[in-house]
Amino acid sequence: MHRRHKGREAALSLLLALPFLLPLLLSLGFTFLGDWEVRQLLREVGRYEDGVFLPLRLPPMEASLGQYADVLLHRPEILTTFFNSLGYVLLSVSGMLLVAPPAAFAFAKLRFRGREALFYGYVLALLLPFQVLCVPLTLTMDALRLQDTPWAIVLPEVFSPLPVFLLRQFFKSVPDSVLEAAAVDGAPLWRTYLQILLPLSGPALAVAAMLSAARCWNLIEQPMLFLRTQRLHPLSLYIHEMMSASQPEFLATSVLAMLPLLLLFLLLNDEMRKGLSQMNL
Amino acid sequence: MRVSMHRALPFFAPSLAGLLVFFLGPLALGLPFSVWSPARGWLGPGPFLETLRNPMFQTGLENSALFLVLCVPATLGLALGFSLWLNRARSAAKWLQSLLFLPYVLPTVCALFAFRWLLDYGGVVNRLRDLFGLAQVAFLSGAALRGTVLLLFLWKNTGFFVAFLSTRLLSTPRDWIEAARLDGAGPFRRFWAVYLPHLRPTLVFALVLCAVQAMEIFRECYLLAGSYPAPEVYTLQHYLYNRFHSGDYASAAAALYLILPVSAGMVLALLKGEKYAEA
Repeated sequence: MHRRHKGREAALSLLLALPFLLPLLLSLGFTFLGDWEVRQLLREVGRYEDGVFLPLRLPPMEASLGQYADVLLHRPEILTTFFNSLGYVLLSVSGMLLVAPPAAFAFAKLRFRGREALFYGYVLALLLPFQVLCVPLTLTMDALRLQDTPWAIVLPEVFSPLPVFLLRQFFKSVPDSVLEAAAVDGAPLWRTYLQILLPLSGPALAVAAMLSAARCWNLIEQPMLFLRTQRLHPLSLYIHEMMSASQPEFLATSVLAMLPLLLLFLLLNDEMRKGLSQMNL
Repeated sequence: MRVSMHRALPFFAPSLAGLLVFFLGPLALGLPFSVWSPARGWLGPGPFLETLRNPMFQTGLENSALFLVLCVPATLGLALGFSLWLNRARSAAKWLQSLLFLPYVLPTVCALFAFRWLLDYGGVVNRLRDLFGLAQVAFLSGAALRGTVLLLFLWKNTGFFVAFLSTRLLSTPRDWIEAARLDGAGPFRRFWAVYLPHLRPTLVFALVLCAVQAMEIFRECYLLAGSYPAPEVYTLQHYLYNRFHSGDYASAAAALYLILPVSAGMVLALLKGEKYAEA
């Protein structure tokens, strides 16, 4: 078969993927527009006149890296917010990796009284959109004196129910016999967990870490509510603010903001694929 | 493995403590605020009745329910379609899965301007429509905005579910498929009798996660249309958010408790579904 067959499959697949890639490629394309082209574009978007169309500016008339130079040289806030975001993600993900896997293990593999009811609490929290909780959560943050500190962003991500839910799915696929064999040998539970189950769960942890990092990197509402100090703002919020104010710098910043996640994604891709195939119950 | 509560406790205690402080605790904390205010004292059932009668709350409720009903089948249907294609085009499966996953991990804000550019009143799509003699459509305001929000949702989430569903589909035991082939089952029958039963637990799981994402669709609406959007994309969260920002904690808390039974019911149904899928 099959070379031609393969070629056709690849071509069709690429065609199917195109709508998903197009917005990303366009975003990249916009960053090479020259200064006046960007300004014209931003002026013209959002006009409601019949028969008047946006100038087609791709490919750019005068390709330049000027936008990147502007952003990197004249916008120190971008670097500050970039490193803030990086810090929030690192803290959130590492905290999550400490807290979620043992809980997921308990809910998947240990049978104790009250397990169902407790897990019900996790799924309920999972189904509550953030905005539903924003009022009481703000009051909680006030009461805990976390308002306007990085912890207001990090802690809810550390204790997010989603990784517990995902990892429970993975631990369920580990056969009971593994645990029972260890129990017969008299190994304490925590040792079974640390020495047998945790080493198996690398790929599943990669999936959880990737999703958690992506969520945290993209937060907008939480920092908007909890962080009054500009200096603490994450990049995602900053881009949103720049875009709302139609500042042309948001284009290049957007692309820069994609890079860390893209890098992490490439790094974890193989592990994640393994993890997904193990996680399916 | 059956263990007593105190042996299991150390494993989930930190996680549960955090869940109580940052999720379930605040949820319970909202209740006093719906019936009592520091300034006005005891409020009685007033905030609840007002909220129920508020036309914006009703609009929000309708829209949130509508988005849930639209997004979940659309996303899972599309994801299932892609997964079936990947199951055929195995040589392309790996990279196509990865490409489709990108919109889920990359910041939506970053691609938003591209969507604006494509769907603007004077944007590329309208330019194309004009070429074919069709009238321009305001995709980014009014009634059509609903479709645009759905599109943005599909763009972002489809790949996430393709990753789950296609991985599962690719792990269908070969001998089941061979056996079905030998029995002369056509592609449709094979899907129904072999692939679908194998897929069932993952589908239930995907259903939960997709419902979660659909409840968060406020994000897409907010990014596209701001805090006070057209009534067609005004969701429950807009109502909560705006009440909260105008300092009306009582109404916001009351609305929260009116939504809660719906969420709780969904949780029960989903957990039942999970049991059924595993049985």
